Amino acid sequence: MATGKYFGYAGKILIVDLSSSDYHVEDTPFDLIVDFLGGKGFGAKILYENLKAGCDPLSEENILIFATGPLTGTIVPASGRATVCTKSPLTGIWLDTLAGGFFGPELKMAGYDAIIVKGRAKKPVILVISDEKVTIENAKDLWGKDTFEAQEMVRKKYGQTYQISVIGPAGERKARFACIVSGDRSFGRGGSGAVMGSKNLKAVAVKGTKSISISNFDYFMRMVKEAYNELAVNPDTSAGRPKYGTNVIYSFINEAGVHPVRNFQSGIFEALKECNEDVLDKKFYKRHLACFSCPINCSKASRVDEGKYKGKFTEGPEYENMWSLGAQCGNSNIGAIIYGEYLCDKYGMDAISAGNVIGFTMECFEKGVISKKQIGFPANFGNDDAIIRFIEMMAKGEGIGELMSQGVRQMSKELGKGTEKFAMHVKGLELPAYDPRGAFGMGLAYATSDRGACHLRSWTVGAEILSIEERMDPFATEFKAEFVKNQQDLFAVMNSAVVCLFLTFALTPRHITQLLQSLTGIKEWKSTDDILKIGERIYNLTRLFSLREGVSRKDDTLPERLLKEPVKEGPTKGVVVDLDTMLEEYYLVRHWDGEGRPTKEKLAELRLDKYRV
Amino acid sequence: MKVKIKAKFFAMPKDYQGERELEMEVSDDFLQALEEIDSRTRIGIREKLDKRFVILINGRNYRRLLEEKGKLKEGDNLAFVPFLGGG
Repeated sequence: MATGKYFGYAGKILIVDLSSSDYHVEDTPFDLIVDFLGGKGFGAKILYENLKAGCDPLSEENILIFATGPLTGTIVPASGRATVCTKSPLTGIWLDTLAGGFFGPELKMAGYDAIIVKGRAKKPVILVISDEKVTIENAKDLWGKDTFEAQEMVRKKYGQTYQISVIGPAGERKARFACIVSGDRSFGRGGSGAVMGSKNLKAVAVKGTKSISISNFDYFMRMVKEAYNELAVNPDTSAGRPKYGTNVIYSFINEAGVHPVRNFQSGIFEALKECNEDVLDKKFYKRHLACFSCPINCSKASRVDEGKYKGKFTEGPEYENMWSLGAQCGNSNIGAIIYGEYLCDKYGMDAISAGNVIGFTMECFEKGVISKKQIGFPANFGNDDAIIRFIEMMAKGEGIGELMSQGVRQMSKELGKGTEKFAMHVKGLELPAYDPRGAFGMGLAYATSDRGACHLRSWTVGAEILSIEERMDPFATEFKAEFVKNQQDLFAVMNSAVVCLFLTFALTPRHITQLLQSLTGIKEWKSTDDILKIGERIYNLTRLFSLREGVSRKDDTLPERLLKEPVKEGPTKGVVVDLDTMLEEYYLVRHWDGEGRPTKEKLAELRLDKYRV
Repeated sequence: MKVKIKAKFFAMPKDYQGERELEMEVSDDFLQALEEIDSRTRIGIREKLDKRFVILINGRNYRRLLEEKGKLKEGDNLAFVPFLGGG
């Protein structure tokens, strides 16, 4: 049986109120579809209209949304994703966070475009969905269990075919960067796991048996074939990423001096010989893994065969975590990185933020801001034992781990002593694995990302360092504003169609548009420009969300280290980021005023007039 | 004039070449040096440069060197890196 009254959509939204332990189902409104597409777009409109400004993200007022998009769960490649949208407890602003795997497709096949979770359960619960059957059940036995054990217990109790999103001990104790884990993938950034924990919602288990209807089958299949063909000839998606995973970029990022080392004190990792994509491929990768409907197979199953971490394993390590638990902490022991990533997944913590905070703590220790007595052990850069112990302490809230688990912004605020100068975050979200001093565009991308420092709202590094577009000099400010703005809008489309961003390596916005047109038959989407306009509308609405929470131009900035402190070696030697020039131009390109507020005319053009802050 | 350089091959270029690093003595004229590297390696510069990979010289795109003086120096690092989309 096909789902929904609109092609490509399930057609229903499940609304759950945990306070009253009740739920109801509504039709997915057509105007929501036409103007906001799905996923992130749905989240933006629903949260803007239903959340009170200034509400505590960990109170029962906050809302947690799981959403799919029209392309999710179809035969379109890399369509296995889902998004979670909420107000972040780490940043206090907009948050959308995505995970691959199988949860999104299953939710859509159960007949829902989204689940809106409101309120707070009195006791730990699990939401169990099997097509129309929805139950909110006691989860006392699951509470306290790690993410892997909890998923196993849920499958054992309800059935092996359920897809599950779950929190671990970090989410239960509302650690500010706790994540939601689904299978071996994570809704990683920004603390959505803490929001789920604050609602006493341990897990969502879903099983679906419906199919997705297609408007123009022949046209759609022609576009799907074209998409697979493009992925098959692209050097990244057909060769580099299937073999090396996301670590395919590891050595070149180092070569360009953009791989941050020891909390961004350097951009060249001296241990590149022991830590690179070849070593991973030869010694650690055991199997290639893929999400739903994905031919890229970028995920790797890794195991440590020798040394002190012998026998440890993980799905990964991803490039970001090779950095966050590696160079960021001065650590070249890949065994420790694999074990550290596994522990972050097991406890349900974002490994990017976790590693960033550990690197910050190590710098504080080396500078004498925090003593050995306060920590309980020496915590110099490169101490792999300390990395593992810190992860355990953050997950469980033990000792200094409690403060660390509040994120680097809060930690530096409490420590004082000038530590804010090297607290590497934007708007409270810890920086990922690229140093903007060697790729200025990433500085603008971090400063203007709608969820705080993020590489997945715009990724300029390839265009700047590989210079696919010759005009993109990594150390120049020219053309960065337009590039970042256009990519943010395109990625908002991808995260609302809810397909993997990796598709954009091989497919153009024209491909995405034609996939959407042929699948849905929606007449209002006449051109690629119409689709990109949806992305721009969503990006402006998430901006309005954060403006309403008090964000202004002063927050569109970078850590002082990147603006004032040049590195001493390598290709980026002596450089700091000229952010102001790029930001001025960015506001102009976006038609935002000098304070970063969308102009009345821009909001009218985007049909967002009624949302003006 | 001849200069000693280090050629580095990352990810797919490493797969084409079969090794990660190679020290070579080549002409200091960049275009001449590319001819020499092409004839002494399996990397396939003629068919693949700017299609499957680019070259970074000391971490910067090789076009910058061409726009400037076009000369290599003793000890330069030439990294053959694939076209990639993101991490």
